[in-house]
Amino acid sequence: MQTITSTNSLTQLKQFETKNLGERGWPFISEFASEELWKLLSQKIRREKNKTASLVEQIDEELLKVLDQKVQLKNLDKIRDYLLQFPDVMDVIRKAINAAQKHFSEAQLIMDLYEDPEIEDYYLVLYVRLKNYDDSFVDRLKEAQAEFISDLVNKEGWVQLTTDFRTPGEKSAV
Amino acid sequence: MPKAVWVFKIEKRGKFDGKKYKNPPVIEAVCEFRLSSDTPWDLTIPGLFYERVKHDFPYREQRLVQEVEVIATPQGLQQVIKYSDRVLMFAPDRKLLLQLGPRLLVINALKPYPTWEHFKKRIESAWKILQKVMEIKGLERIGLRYINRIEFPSPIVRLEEYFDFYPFVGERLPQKIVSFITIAEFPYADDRDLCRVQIQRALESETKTAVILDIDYFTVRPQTIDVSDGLTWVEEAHSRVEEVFEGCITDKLRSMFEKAN
Repeated sequence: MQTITSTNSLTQLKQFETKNLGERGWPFISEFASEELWKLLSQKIRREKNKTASLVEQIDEELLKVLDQKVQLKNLDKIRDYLLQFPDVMDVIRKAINAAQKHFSEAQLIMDLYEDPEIEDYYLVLYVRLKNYDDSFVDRLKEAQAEFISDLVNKEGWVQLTTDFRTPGEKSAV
Repeated sequence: MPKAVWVFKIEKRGKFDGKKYKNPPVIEAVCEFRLSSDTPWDLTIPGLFYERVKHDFPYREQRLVQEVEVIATPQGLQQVIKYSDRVLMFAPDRKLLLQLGPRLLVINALKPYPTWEHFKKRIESAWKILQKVMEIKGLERIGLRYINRIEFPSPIVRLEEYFDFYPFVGERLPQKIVSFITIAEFPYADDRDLCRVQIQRALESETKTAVILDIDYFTVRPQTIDVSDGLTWVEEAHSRVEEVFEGCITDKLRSMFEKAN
């Protein structure tokens, strides 16, 4: 449990931001926060807390974070519907994106819903697109997948890291 | 000092007859019971609860949920970030689910909305079962929330044609808006309850323009509703939500939902 009090807020807020936001390049509130601003922030958090818990809202917030990570979303409505059915996979999405970005820093990432036309099977896919695919590509893909695959154990939903062997920006349908 | 309120016009409250639409825009309906902090809670409760609901909600999953709490202390406001386990129990079609966490019961209905009669039965049943498996001392908060997603075929939408609740933009301002959000909180039941209404542009797909109309009706202060009155409150809350929803939309939008009855 992490506690931030208004009296020691700026130091702790800074620590909290470094831990949680640092990798994502977000602006740190602690850089410019006064006690007054901190109070306003507290009111906002209180208001956020005073909401009836919606799954749709949680999923849209998660999808906004995915977009923040510069991942393109294809078929947004289908992705949302999938996450509504399998919300447990939400906890894994960002880990999958982080792993993909770590192993393929130069890649374009596209999230979509894969639907098998022959059997009733569908799951989320995260496509990695590169300018050039060399011999190490498949091994790197496996290494990236290994970073989050254990998190999918006992989950009903699934996220698959893969590629369509297209280049970034290519318009053809995934 | 009395709380400030802003009054716009004399209210013209019509009678609402529980309209049923062929294509209701509800993407999620949520009923949430937060139990008082003096209610005893232990880890056996989700298991006992599941045993009684598993026939209708057979698929059980677990999630770790992050919550932020703000507590007023003599030293100032305290933000507490904590994680708690939540058990999710899904109906076979995964369109209805129950969420049970420490002192929390949530009943969610996803689209297609199963009608109030059906949703109410699920709320009643879950609430009664919870009372059978544990002693509930009080209610911290109850909320009933409806999230509506309204999609338009055209990329340009004149909000005033479809809504009676939207951001007012004066003539001297640009009339094109790419993004907006408007929130109002209406007091009900002598300020015991609040109805927060929010309209905003939705997170969209490439081809659709969509608006989210979010109506959240909840008790403001803890312990204002007795445990035995929980379901009566929910029924009243639903009537208020329905009134507010109808008050937010115009006949043009109503016709898009193709009223069935």
